[in-house]
Amino acid sequence: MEHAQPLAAVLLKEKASPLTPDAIRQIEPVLMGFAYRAVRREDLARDLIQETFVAAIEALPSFEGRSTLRTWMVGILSRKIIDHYRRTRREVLTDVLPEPEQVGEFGPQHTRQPDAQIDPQMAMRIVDESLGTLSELERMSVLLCDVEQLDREEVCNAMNVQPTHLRVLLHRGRNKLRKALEHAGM
Amino acid sequence: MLACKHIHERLNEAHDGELSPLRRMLLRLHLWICSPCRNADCSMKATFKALRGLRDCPPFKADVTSPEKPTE
Ligand SMILES: [Zn+2]
Repeated sequence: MEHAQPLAAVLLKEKASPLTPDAIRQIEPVLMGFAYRAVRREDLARDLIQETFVAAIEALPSFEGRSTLRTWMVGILSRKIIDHYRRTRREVLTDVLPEPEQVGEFGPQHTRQPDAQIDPQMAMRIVDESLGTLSELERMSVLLCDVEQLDREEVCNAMNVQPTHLRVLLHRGRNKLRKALEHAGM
Repeated sequence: MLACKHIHERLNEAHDGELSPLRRMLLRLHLWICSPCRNADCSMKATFKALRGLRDCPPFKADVTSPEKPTE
C-alpha cells in the first residue's frame, strides 16, 4: 500500500504517540483477527487494517487516552468495515425489522442433554465459524459488544445505528450463534 | 409469569443488565422450574463465554491458508 512508507516514518518520529512500533506489533494481530472475523477475507482484512492505521495516524491528536489504544483503534477499524459494507451494498443498513425468533408455541426445543459437558475450545470454534452465517451488521454488533465488549454508545457511534436497532441486531446475532451451539449438542 | 417462548429475549436482557429486579426474579424462578429453559440458559451462557474467549484468540479459519492458527 502506498501509505506504508510515510506511515513508518511518522511512527518513528512520533515518540510521544501511543502508536509506538511495539504497540503496533501488539495491536496488529488483534485488529487482523477482528477484521477477518468481520469480513471473512484475509486480503480485504489486511487492506482495512492498513487504512485503519493511516486514519489512526491522522487522528492521533484526538486520542486522549480515555479509552485504551485497542478500543480506540477497533472503533476506527469498525468504521472502515461499515464503510466497506456500505460500498459493497450487500445489506440494507437501515430499517432492519425485528425478526421474531422461532421458538414455537411452547418455547425452546433442545437437543442438548442436561449437564452436557461443553468443551470451551470447541464452543469457541463453532461460534467463530458460525459468525460467518450472520448478516454483516449482526456480526459487527456481536463482535463489538460481546467479543470486544465495548459499551453500547461506542458501538452505536462506530456502526452509526440507533440503540434500538443495535439491540435487534445483537439479539438476532447471538441467537443464531446459540442455535449453532445447540445444533452441535452443546 | 414468564412464558417459555420469551426466554431467549429475557436471557439476552438479563445478560445486558436490562431486567428490572422483578423480572430478574421471575426469570430465576422460571429457570428453577423449567428444564428446557434451563438448557436454553446454559446454551446462552456458553455462547457468551465463547464470544468473550474469542477476544484474545486468533480466528479459527476453516477455508484459508494462513500462518495464524489458534493455540490448541
Ligand atoms: Zn420455560
